[in-house]
Amino acid sequence: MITRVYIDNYKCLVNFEYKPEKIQLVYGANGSGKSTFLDVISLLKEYVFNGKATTGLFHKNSITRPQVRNIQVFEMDIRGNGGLYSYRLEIEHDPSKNICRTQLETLTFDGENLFRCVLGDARLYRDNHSEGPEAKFDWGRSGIAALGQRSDNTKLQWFKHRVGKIACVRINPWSMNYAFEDEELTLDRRATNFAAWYASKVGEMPKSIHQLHETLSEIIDGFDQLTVKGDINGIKTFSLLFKSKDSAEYPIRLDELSDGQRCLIVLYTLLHCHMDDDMTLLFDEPDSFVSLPEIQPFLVELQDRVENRTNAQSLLVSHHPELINKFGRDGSVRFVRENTGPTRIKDLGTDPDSGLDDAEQIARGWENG
Amino acid sequence: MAKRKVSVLILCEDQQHESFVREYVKRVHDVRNRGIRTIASTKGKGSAFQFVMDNFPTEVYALRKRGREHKLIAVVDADNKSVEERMDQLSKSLKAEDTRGDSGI
Repeated sequence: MITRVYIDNYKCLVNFEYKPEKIQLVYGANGSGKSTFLDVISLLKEYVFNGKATTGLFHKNSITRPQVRNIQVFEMDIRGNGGLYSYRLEIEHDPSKNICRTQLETLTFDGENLFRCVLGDARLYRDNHSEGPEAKFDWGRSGIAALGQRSDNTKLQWFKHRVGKIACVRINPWSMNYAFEDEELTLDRRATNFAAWYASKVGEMPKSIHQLHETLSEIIDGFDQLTVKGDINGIKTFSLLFKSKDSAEYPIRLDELSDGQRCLIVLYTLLHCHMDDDMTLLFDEPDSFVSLPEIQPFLVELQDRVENRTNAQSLLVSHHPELINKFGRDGSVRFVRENTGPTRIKDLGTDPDSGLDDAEQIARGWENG
Repeated sequence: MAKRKVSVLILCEDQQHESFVREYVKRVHDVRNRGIRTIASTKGKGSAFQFVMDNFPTEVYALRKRGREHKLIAVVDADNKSVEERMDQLSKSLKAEDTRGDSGI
């Protein structure tokens, strides 16, 4: 699981350090940096796992203003594979040309080198941390992403795939496509490609799909199963198959469902098909569009799955009173900015003896600090 | 949407109570998560017991209005009291509400 994230000089995150728990609520006022934090985690995944270029990911406008430093620093510690991985990335910007490059990229395991690259000149290390060959990389991309699997770099590959197992979602039901051509292995941040991503899971994990259908049948009246059907042009369509009381079957396309139903389908599909050990799920306002009676059952299912898996992890960004009261002071952190300054982390700041629940204290602005 | 119908309400001091009792209800009484609603205190130790005591009469009243198919499980630590003393405290909290004359208990 992710045990520490350090970010410097990225929007409102300056010399910012956060040590997330196994499951935790991230609360904060609007503009306090919660979504910015999730943005950074998504960027690191795109960079390290998907191999995307720095210039498309790290825009010059992401440099903290009014500062004038041109180097952004990102660090992420992940515990797993029997040790502690520490990743560090320094991005150098040239604002005049609107380009940026990787100044430094390093990865260690329990403090021992696995990878080190300075301005494209890399030193590779074997699993036993002995020095391997030198190599040249494009300084606009991650060297770790570019490295292929070898018998002596399994620790590095484990880290890369672990980063790939971070899912960061803020579901936008209006942008979800019901039709697609090719299956996709990664769910994008807004769940736009949900149908294509779901299709990749169907053959891979039939048991989980069956459990998902059982769960959805409790939530959606008349629901029978999710289906993906292709036409002669290779376009596939994602639908829900319903059964009427007289057992007549009829499909309803994804875009014909309500916003809340689409969100619930994504949320429960993530729980059933994506939550395994060594997995981090980051939800940005998972309660959006979801009706009040559905929120607690989802949280309970999520908590069960995280707690029953040694290295599974979930962070939830939310303002919803149901989540604030469930996680409370012990299970939450608060992102705080003072006078447009940098984001800092505090506890929830509520008073256990006030006579009011945590959400009510926050609604009144009565929390401390 | 299928309407969520809660049949078991767990009123408890903290998350540990919740997890333990919810798992018991699921396994022994074959109730799914969607049939269980939890009201857990987010208050500190000590006042968490008071949270259960404060909410117990209201929940009993609401339960009796709903009918016998609904169940309420109130969970408190005995701490430095005996189980009988805790039961007595809960009973007295109902009687105290009843004396107000508007609780219907």
